[in-house]
Amino acid sequence: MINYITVALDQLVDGPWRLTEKPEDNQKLRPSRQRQEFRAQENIAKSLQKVGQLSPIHIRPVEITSKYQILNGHVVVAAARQVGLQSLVAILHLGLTDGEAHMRYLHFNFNHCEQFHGKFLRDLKKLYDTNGADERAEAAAELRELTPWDLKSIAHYILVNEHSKTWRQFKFSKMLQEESGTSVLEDDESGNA
Amino acid sequence: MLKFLTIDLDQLVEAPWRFTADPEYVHYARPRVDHHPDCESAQRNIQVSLEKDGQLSPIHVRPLEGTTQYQILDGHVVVECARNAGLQVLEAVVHLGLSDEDAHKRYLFFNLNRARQYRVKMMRDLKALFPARNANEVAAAVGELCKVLNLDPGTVEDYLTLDERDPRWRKWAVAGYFNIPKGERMTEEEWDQLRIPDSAL
Repeated sequence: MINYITVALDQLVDGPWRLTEKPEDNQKLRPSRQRQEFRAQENIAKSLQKVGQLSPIHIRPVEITSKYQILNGHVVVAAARQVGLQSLVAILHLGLTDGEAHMRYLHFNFNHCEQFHGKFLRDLKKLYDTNGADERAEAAAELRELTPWDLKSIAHYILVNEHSKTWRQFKFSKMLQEESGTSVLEDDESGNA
Repeated sequence: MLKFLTIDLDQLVEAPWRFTADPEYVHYARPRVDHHPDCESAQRNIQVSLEKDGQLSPIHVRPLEGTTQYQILDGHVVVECARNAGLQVLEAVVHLGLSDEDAHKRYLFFNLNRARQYRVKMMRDLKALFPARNANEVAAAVGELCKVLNLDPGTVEDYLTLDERDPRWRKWAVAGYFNIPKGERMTEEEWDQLRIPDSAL
């Protein structure tokens, strides 16, 4: 049985294992990764404002205090603070040791099926069967809110779909890279995916 | 406001966009050392977790108009595991008022809008949890971690045993090029014998 509670944001504290909370570690993130984290948070902030919370975060009570430690959902909490929310719905995990809490965090974050390019392309082909620069720009703007990818990567996917008879032939060719830099959207970011 | 519901498994139907359920495309998922196209190890870990701790997180569904069924937006693997584990119901977040396209986009949002994980973080995480000091401890830690991570045992062992700047980390960058299985440990000398053309870097 899952325990749901609504918890005030000022009762939430970060898991100590969260690397990006430590300034000295955060500096080791490549700039492209930092931008990606920032974009993921921005997208969640937009989504919170537009449709509200879509999924509960995961927390555990911190003994002898009224605080809760975030097991999973640090970025959601940061985004909620950013947009001025007061509370979030959370799943309460009880009776965990520090080690078990950390393991649960790993389970949530690292036990995913792999996503791969062929799948993205097929998904995007269904959703955004573009034709021409205007449609590409519209699709890119929407994808910008669904993924943390930089515009260049988004442009690649869209162009590959548009240029290929079948998505199976997909290849990030030089031609596509050159075209994506000029014809989809102006990309003010120089980082790669 | 989130809407939660407990749903019978036989009321759940897969989303039509699910790649690995489509026989036409399933072979495009690369078979790898550490996991099969159908995400065997992730599925196994979730099944073990369901049997041990029960459901930890709700799946996401939307009601299908004119039926008593719900389409899975996110959580296909969990549903499969629940069926394998003999569960009858799962808890779900119900998303209302979505068009087919909106539903597909929500699936993308759940699956793609993630902060990336990276190697140094993984290594520190795992070493903090399992400061293994000898081969037996490493083996025990690898066994434990493979229950929650979708990684092959060799990779987990590297995380636990290599230093941040160990030259053998290079295998992460070049193993694919030389078709070296990820779980295969090589000596520094063996790595030095490999020559990668500049054009491939």
